[in-house]
Amino acid sequence: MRPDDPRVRAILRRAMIVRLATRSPAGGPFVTPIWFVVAGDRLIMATGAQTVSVRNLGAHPEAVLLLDADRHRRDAGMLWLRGPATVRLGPPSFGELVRLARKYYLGGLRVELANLARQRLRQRYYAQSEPAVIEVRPQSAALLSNPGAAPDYADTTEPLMSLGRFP
Amino acid sequence: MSRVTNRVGVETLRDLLEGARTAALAYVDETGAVQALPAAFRWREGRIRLGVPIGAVRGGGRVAIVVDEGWFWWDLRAVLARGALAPSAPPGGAAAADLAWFELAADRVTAWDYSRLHEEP
Repeated sequence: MRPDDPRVRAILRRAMIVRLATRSPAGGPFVTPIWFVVAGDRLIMATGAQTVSVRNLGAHPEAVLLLDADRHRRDAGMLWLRGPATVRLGPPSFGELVRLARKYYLGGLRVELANLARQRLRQRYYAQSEPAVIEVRPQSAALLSNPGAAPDYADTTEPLMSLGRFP
Repeated sequence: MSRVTNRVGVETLRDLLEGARTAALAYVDETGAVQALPAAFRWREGRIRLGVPIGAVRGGGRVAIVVDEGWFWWDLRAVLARGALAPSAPPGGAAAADLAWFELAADRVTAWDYSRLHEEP
């Protein structure tokens, strides 16, 4: 599957979270969930300059991404993307910020309003680190089935309470 | 000066771990390239078991996994664990039959929850 396949573009339009997998300077794997927006053929992720992902990409500039194919149905599988990654130190561009704000702050307005009193705490949190932007340009794509989508009732060794089906 | 952090103890996210059925699993393949795939996830009393398609991952290799929840800033929470995989019995049930199961011997586990953003000394 090509990254410009209409199915890939449709998933990227709707997905909210990407899991970014990178390789450390010592060669170990790392994965973390992160926000993203799409800009042309790139995925743009805003993060901190001191994060593990940024450090890893400085040594090994390649990333693998996993996204829910349907954010409401885990049995729809996951979109897998691989491509070269670049890191830009500094904040996202104005256009990227607008896209991020529209998707995550306006899109989550109810959550934002509910936490209005804690905005100053969040500002202090952000001020503790320098911003950075990760750009990934996918070169290959695949749709993977999700082994975790098997019905819970198949896991017969676990107590029913842990399945969360009963109050 | 105090620091603002989203870090929490793993036990704080027990409900997330108990309810999660999928983890994103990352590893480095035989060519040295990073790889990732979705894995079936089971957590029970601190033990992490992962189910992947047979042949996809070898036991003994080092992996990183993340279980996450939420889309918006104040809803985001996740548990990240790193360690080595050892072959394990499946949790049971017919749906697990087509998967290879592993237990993760985690040596590094971190958890964060933005709804619990707080100051620490």
